[in-house]
Amino acid sequence: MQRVRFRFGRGESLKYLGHLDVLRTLHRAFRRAKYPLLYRGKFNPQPRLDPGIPLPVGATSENDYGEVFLTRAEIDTFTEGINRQLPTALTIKEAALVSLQDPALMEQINSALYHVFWNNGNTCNQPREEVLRGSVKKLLDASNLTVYRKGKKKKKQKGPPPQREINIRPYIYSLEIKATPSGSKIEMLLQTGNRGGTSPLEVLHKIEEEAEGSVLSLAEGIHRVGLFWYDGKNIIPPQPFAGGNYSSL
Amino acid sequence: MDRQEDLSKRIWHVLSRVSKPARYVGNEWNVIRKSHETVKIKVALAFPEIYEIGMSNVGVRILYQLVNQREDALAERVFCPHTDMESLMKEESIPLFSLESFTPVTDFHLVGFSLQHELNYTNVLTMLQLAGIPLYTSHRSREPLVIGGGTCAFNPEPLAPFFDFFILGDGEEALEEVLNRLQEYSKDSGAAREKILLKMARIPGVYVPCFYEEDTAGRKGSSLRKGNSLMVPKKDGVPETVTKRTVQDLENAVYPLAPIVPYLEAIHDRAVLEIARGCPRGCRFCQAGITYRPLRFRSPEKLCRMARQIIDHTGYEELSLVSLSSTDYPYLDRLLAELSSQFSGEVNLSLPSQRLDAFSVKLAEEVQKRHQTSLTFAPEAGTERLRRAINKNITDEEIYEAMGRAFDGGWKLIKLYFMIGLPTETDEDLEGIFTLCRDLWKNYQQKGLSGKLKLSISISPFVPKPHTPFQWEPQISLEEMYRKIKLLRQKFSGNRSLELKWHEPEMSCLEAALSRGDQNLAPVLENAWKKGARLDNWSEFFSLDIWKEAFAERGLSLEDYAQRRYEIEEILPWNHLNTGVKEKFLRREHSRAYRCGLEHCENLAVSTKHGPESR
Repeated sequence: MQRVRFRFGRGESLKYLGHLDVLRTLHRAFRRAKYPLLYRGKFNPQPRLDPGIPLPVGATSENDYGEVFLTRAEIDTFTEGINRQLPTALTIKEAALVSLQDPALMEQINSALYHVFWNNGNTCNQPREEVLRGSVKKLLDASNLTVYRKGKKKKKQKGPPPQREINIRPYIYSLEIKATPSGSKIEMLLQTGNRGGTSPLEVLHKIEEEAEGSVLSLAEGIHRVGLFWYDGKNIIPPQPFAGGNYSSL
Repeated sequence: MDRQEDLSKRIWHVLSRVSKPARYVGNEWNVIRKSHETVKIKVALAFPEIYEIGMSNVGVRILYQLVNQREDALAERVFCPHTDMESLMKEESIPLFSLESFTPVTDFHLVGFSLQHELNYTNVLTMLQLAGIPLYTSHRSREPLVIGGGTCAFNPEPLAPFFDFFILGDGEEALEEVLNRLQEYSKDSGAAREKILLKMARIPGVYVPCFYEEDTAGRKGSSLRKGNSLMVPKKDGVPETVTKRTVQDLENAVYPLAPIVPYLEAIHDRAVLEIARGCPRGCRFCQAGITYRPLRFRSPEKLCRMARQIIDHTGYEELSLVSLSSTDYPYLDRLLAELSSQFSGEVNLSLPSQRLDAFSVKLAEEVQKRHQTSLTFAPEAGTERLRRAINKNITDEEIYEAMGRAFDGGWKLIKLYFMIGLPTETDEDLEGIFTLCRDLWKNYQQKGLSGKLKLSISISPFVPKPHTPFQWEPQISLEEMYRKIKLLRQKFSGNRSLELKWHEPEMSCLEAALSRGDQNLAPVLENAWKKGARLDNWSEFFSLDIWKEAFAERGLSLEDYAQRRYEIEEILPWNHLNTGVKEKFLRREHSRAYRCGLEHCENLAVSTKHGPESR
């Protein structure tokens, strides 16, 4: 059994796929490439393939990480072989063998860096930069930012699923507005993963509540720059990969 | 920015605001994108349902392959947008567009609708409107030709005023001929439209409704009722009856070996191999059994080669061997053995539409052991008597034997399909459904097997279909459906191993009315659609009240269409459309149903390997 960890990204033309769509796409690409996948489960065997932390529908990315278990992996040709079976907007950029004893991928990721873009171009009701600045400041000054998430329905429970109240403020490490050649962007460093976290959409909704006018629907794009371990100071990408370009932090 | 680029940009932006945007992005694995500059004929293959349903249709995939492999033509796909997308498209003035290139549908020469179900009809209108194509053919001039094919084309009268023409039967050869004729057509001149339609009308299997009119003279001598009149040609060179097309050589017919692999999970998310066309059984309620005649097979050798290519090109983990009755495929043992050894565990095989007999269970044991957790069978009726009447000839004994074998094989989840409201049905037959299921459950208990059995019993109301021996039969009333369901519910309550489900009766009522409808229903369709009927096949959207109103406002009654017994002698709305099966045969089968339904008439049952004589 061999465990392959890979770094991949998702381009504009596939940004509307859901997490399970990406999983299915990767799975079938591995099958077409005739890589010997390992399966788990007896009645409904599922490949031991994990595309990592879900990306919100509508976002692009460049440093996502996934893992796959194969009976045997030719690591030198791994990337080339799989990319022949993948759409160009979903490309594996590098891959490496990791030891079976190594900690899980999720143990090495606790945060994500997102860029949300606005174009100052054609529409007149663009959120002006100062409006954005104002609402971002309010968010950062707050000690409690409550969002409501769908809870899980208990078995046989009727009616709409219960709502859970969550304070996302502790999950926001930084929010910063920067100018781009065509408009502006917010850089968001957010906690994510299995110790709790928030998504750029939740943060945008909060900004929208503060700002006058629609912010979310006018955003040109959400891009996940990377996933990594953030210890309050340093950014450490999952082993054995060296980081992407996070110089903006 | 040119027009096309601007449209693509606007579509892309709108997608951030809809649910499941992946329905509209195209760009899937194996998608075919040809240059619009280098081809003469552009075809939009339209499926009047949402993406996940439409992408599961084999017919559309075959035609996609067929058109795209021609040098002079291209085909792109269009599906019905969901309601949220529909309103956003209207708000943002985005026309209906193809998935391959985001091209507006009006830029195509031909828009071909696949008509698989009556409850998709309003989706056709939604799509035409979004495309900016006038609903009625009489109002069109430069727009693409709007054509239809598929099961519902065998009685397309309720849709006739919206379509330029229909293709009856297998589409492969007929569509090629249509495309050949289209080369001479320049759609920029409105006058050419009638000329090209006249050419189309000469292609066998093509029905051009605007060249037909009601023959009032023909009413003499037949017991015609209001709303039914013979459609006769009003132009020279237009055939009196249109006979369906049949591909004789299925072995060498076009089939997609690199089919598109959707990103979204389609309802049938697997590789599909059509092993046969047609059905050797003669169930008297079944329309496909008639319209797909004669029975044709692909050879096991060919199928094995095809299967290998399809799996290599798609990476699917399941291969489904489809036909109307796959367990009747004569070389099934050999095919399964060869496929199993070829794929040796790499791919799961599945056989839909199984017959309820021990042979099928044996096959299921061989094929699906590892994978399939449930078995599905359709006894259709609860007593041997009623099964004889509908010519689903299987005895209780055979059912017990097959199920016993399934229990021994370890299956604990079994789905059984039954119909209610079949001709000659009495409450005794309904009790029979319960008795049969209860006895199956008892048999299971007696075996002392570990684990609990679950029988999932699905009930759907009988819908009379054109061109079947039951085409004259009335559908039972909505009240009667509910009474029967209630009776069954009472019977089935108390045993939690027997789970009873039923198809929404209201939807079956509409299905029956539309399926046997005539051209008077076209304005009703339009009316219901204007009142908001959308995605009628989805219970969350369906409203029978809208439809009843829509009928009433045109002075018609939905119940009359669905529940009237059509006279044997009367001219039926689909009289001018020919499936190749003689009306005489249907009448004989119809009367046989009543005779076989009598207790002492077992020898009349017609269950032969090759199906009843029909031509």
